[in-house]
Amino acid sequence: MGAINIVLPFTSATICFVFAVLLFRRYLVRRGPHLLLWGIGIVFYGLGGFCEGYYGAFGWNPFIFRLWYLVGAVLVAAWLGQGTVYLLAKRKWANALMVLLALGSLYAAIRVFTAELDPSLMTTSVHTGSELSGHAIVTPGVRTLTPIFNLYGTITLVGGALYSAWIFWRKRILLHRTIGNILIAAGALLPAFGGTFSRMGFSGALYVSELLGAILLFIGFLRATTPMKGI
Amino acid sequence: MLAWRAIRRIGPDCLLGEERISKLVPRDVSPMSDKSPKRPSKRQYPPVYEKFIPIALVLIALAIVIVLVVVFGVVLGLFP
Repeated sequence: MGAINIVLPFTSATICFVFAVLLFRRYLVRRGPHLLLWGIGIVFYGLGGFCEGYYGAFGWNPFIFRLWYLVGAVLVAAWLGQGTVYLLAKRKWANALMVLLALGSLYAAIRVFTAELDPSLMTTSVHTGSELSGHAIVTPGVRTLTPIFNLYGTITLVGGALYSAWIFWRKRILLHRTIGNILIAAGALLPAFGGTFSRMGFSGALYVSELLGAILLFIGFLRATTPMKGI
Repeated sequence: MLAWRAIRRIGPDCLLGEERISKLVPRDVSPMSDKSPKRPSKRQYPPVYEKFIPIALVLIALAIVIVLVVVFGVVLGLFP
């Protein structure tokens, strides 16, 4: 296992856990449900990175793989996006979607933790097996959950950030929030592209994109919550 | 003569009625003036942001479309 497959994911995890502490502290002061959900989403992001780093350092472990697949591949984008839904949508719609997401997450957890695994399947014609991959899941139907959650997460998180940036830009107000939302949207998109490149056989693309995504999300949040002088 | 000067100093608001004239034109524009009403200048971000923010927004919108196409491709089994 290359050192890059240990250092990159552990760095992502560290950034995410620091970020999550800031989000939870802000939640304790302001009490917005979006902050709580973003905090949970970022913890999922960090756990995913930790599992990847663990695999890089110590090798295969079924529990670590299941945890990675559940929080890192299935849930993270959707829970982050749900935070944005609470920020932008009416509360009754947000609550209804939250119930669906919670039930869906519970179902996904059951499916992932009862799925049959075969780590040898992670090595394919385009994959060296040095990175974690959903190919290890043998049970049919489990992996089809992932795009559904990620579709919801992409539309709500990236779409919500883009929409917010557009509104601020159109009115030419709160420049820090315009920039912050653009960075958040870009940071949320990067792991999706990394996953795509990883599928195509670009080794390391997933972990690099996850690290850059974590950095951009963190900087975007800091930028969006720190007003700029005179603008 | 003094009365005429007083009317000129007070202006046409006095003659047409304060409330009526207020509904017709903005307060800072004389109804006798042929100048166009003053509008507040459009707010602007600093030039560098004015240039790059729309580009970033368009790029992100395109990226979302690409990601959605890939996700649908995975769902439909077009990608491994």
